[in-house]
Amino acid sequence: MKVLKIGVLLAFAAALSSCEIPFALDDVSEPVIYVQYIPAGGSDAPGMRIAYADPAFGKDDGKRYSLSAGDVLISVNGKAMPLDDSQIESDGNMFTLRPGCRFAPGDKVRVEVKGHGVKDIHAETTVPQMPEIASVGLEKVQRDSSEATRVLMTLPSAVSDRDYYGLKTAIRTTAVSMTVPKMPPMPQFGPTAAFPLPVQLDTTVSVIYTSAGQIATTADINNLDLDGFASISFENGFISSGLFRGEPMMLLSSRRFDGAEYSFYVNSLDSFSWSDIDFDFDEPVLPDEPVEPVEPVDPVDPEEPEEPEEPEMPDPKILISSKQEIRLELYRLSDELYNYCKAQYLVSFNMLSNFGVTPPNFTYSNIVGGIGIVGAMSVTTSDWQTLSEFEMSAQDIMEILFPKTPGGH
Amino acid sequence: MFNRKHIALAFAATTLAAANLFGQVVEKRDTLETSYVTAVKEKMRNTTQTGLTRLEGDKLRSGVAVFGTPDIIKSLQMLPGVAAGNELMSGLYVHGGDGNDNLFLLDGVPLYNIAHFGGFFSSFNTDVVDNLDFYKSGFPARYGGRLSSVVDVETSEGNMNEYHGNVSLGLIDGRIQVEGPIIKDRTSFNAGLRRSWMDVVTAPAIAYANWKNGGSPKVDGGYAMWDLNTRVTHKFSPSSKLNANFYWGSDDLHAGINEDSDLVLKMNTRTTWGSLAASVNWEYKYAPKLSGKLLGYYSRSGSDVGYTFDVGTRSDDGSVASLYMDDDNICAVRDGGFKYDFDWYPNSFNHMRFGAAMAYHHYNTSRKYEQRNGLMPSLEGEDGTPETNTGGDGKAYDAFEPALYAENEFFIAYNFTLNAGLRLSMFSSGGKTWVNPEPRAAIKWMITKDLCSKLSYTRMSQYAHLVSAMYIELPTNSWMPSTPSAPPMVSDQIAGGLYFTPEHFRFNVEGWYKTMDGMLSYNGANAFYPPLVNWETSFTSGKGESYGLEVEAGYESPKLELTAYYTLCWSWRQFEAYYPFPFPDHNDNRHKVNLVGTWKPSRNWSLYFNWNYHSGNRITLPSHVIYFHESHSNMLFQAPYNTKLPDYHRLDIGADYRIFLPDRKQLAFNLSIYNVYNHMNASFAMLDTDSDGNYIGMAYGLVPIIPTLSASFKF
Repeated sequence: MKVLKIGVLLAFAAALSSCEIPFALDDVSEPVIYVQYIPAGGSDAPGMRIAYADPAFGKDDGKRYSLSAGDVLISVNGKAMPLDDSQIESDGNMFTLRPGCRFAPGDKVRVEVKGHGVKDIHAETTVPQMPEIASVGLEKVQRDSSEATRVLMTLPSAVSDRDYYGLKTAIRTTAVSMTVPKMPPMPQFGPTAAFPLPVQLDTTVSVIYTSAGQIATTADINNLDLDGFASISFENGFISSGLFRGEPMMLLSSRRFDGAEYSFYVNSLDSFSWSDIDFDFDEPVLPDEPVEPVEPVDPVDPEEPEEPEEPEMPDPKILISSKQEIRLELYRLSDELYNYCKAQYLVSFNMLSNFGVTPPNFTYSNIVGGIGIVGAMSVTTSDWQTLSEFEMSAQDIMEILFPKTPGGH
Repeated sequence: MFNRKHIALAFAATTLAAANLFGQVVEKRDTLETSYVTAVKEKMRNTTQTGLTRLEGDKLRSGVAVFGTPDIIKSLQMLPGVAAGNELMSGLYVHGGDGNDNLFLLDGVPLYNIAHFGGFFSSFNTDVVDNLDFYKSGFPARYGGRLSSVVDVETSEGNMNEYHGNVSLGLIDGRIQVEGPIIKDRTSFNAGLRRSWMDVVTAPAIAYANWKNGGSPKVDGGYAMWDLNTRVTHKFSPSSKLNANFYWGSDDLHAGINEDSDLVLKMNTRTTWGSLAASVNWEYKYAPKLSGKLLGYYSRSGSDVGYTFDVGTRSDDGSVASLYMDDDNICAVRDGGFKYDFDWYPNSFNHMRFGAAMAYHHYNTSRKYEQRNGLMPSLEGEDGTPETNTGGDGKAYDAFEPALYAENEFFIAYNFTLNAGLRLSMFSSGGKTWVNPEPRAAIKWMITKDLCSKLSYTRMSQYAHLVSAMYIELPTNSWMPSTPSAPPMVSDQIAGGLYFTPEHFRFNVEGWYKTMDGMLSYNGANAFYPPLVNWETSFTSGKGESYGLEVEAGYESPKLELTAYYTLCWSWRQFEAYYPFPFPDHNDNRHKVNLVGTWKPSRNWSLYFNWNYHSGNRITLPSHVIYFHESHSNMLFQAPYNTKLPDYHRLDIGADYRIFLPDRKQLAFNLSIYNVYNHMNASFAMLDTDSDGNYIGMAYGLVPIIPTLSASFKF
């Protein structure tokens, strides 16, 4: 019986140990050229990223390639654009070409790159028509027992199944704060007297890009249509892949529109964080205070432990006014650009991608002979509209500047 | 050159040949009894159709039985031109099809859900199956509604004179089948019941666990599948017969945990899915050469998936504050319709079939939820009670699908037979109507007595779409009709071959070329619940192309049957949203080999084997990497399905031992071993690295050797 048990256990262990089946991937791919180029109508000239992509399953052979302007041909409506080597920057195996050109809707753009040992590539795209925003409406609503702003964007006409858009939502916060330096006590004027001078006013302007997704309440989780949150990071003319989201661009197909309307919520949670006075933005501060050069610090003698200094408390910063505004940047995307963006989103969020049980919707490339995207967009922006405003009253400011002292003046 | 005498001789010869060809059929159709089946078998031998395989019930019930249960779909998966998809599932990817484009007919009634246990078993109980016709190409005009195949399953009529039956016990289920006369020689019944008994085994274990932990938490769970087939036949006269058929199959899976202490926890999941089909058909012989069959039916397929989750804490005063969530997802398709088919032999040269069909479909998929959060005071309403969020969405459609068809098989001359037909299919839903003429044609040339050549062309339309985010059969998958945003799918297929059937042997070579337009593929983030309200735009439209060659070689004698199948296949897809260029399909199995054998050394023993091999399924892995900043890298995907999984192969063996008892009773035991040499075949794969840091593919096998023993008693 014991032998039988051992036999069964061994058979079971053998069965389990063979569950993993390693297999070679040598023939999956060969070196190709990667290109990312997104000509945009109504926007600044974009750059083109070109790289030599190695097979994922071979080791990096250490080869580094060079690229010259003569290897690249960009033609617009059949006319070649002038390129020279001064427009090329290199970063490891990645090259950025800045052709410096503006595109108009309807332009047919073709890109060709010579391979030098790998396949030459080519790809084409057409700059889509300029999108139009008919109106942007803001409405305060209650969601999940808290206040949110519903943004309603209306286009001039209903969106068709073949229209693809991207939407970036910029929130601009303009905050004026007052810094009141602490003054040493002046007992000659009384036991608690202090003079709040000099006062410094700072204006901070920050612009952040927030998600324009439709979720606004936990109840929405039940019927989560994950495509409602499809977004990619689009910044400075390039799409970043991976989970990093710099400036999110929501991807909108006709599925997300109700006719000509698209709405989303700016959550009250975000509003709260904007109105918090303890903000610390890395954005321009007006007026710009000159930064004192930092003196080099003498090396500390390890023998003599430095006396810990009492941390100096910063001067209190008091927000006296703030204003949040919203602006929509609407992009009309060419078919191939939408497909590429969607794939970039799905590759990050399709947990079952590699299991072989789902459609292959997380991959896209329209580069013939290579990999990447040549897709086009056109962009329009709305005006800034006020989301919320706060301004401290003159009386409150005076109370801060001239606090009443007990029994004082 | 030919003179009048030659022409007269040729005409006489062809007339005689035609009479010989159809004579048997006409003769045997004089009665509607068992000879009818024989006649159909004879006709099959002479059929002009390509891509047709008939499987008899006896064959389906014998052989290797996975988990001790013979399975129709797994038998079909072994045929050439068919890819099985994921191992052990009920996938049927025919000639590059999508798996959701097969027309399953049970006694003429279309079925939508054809699988139990998430796809492990098909819904067809082989105990009651008389035969099935499986068409991969050359579809006759009387069939329509799906792109890739027709699986026409006919259940057996009950014995008109004696009571017989069969009781079987397999590894996970038990079956009972009984047939016999209700009114001798006039009315009979045949009923089969199948039920899994896993829940019977797990119930005591769960009860013990609950007893051991004192009832808190209390766990619950179980799975059961069952189906019931009944057929009642009544003969009014030798030329008039009525059949009433009923099928009801269901799966029930539930699990839960309940605790009632300081912590209050109630968590229950429930999943039921299945199909119901009821039909009545009346066969009537209007004249010696004209018969008709009127079928009326109702069917329902669907699922209900949901959960309840209630977790909270009990305070000192006994009150409970909890987070409550309830979710329910219902998918259903209800069909009602009729078909009226006529068979007419106007003369010895022509065999006409014509008829009409009308189907009403009601598609209804809905989700609803209820949420209450008593754990967050901020979510309380003004009266202090938690706010309740309720809602949901759904889609419902009514659709009508009428069809008219006519086909004629006629002997032309010089041993040429032509089957030409037209099916006019229509579909109306949501204010939009589609009309699709579907021409069908097949021609056969009898080169010699044992050698013939066939060629066919068919067009098929499909008006139902499976809304699923995955390739596996999930209860959350739902069917939706064609809409303006998701128009009908259409396929065109040309097939042809050579068929050599000397005594005891058969050698068939058949090739096909098929295109599929309007195919839909899910293009959203993976979810068990695909979106409902905007389901049309969550799919992307594309096309498919498939071509290949099937070779079949077989030997058959009373004691030994050996068959070898080989398939060489290419299957492509082009979905612009995935990739602007053609790419291989998930089931692009370039080579497929099946070796099947049966040896009956004695009356008591039957031994079986089948060996399966096919090129691996395809998956998508990142294909390239870019190095930048000298130390950073970025993985890229170039094209879908760029990676082939390791090739698939396994050997199954089985043995039947029968003990013959008095009064034609029989006791039989079946031992089947699935995957005898325990080859773990890849079910899925991911990227991994080897010890040197190189990327490799790592596939995972899930299905080891599975020995099963089953017993049955025939009476």
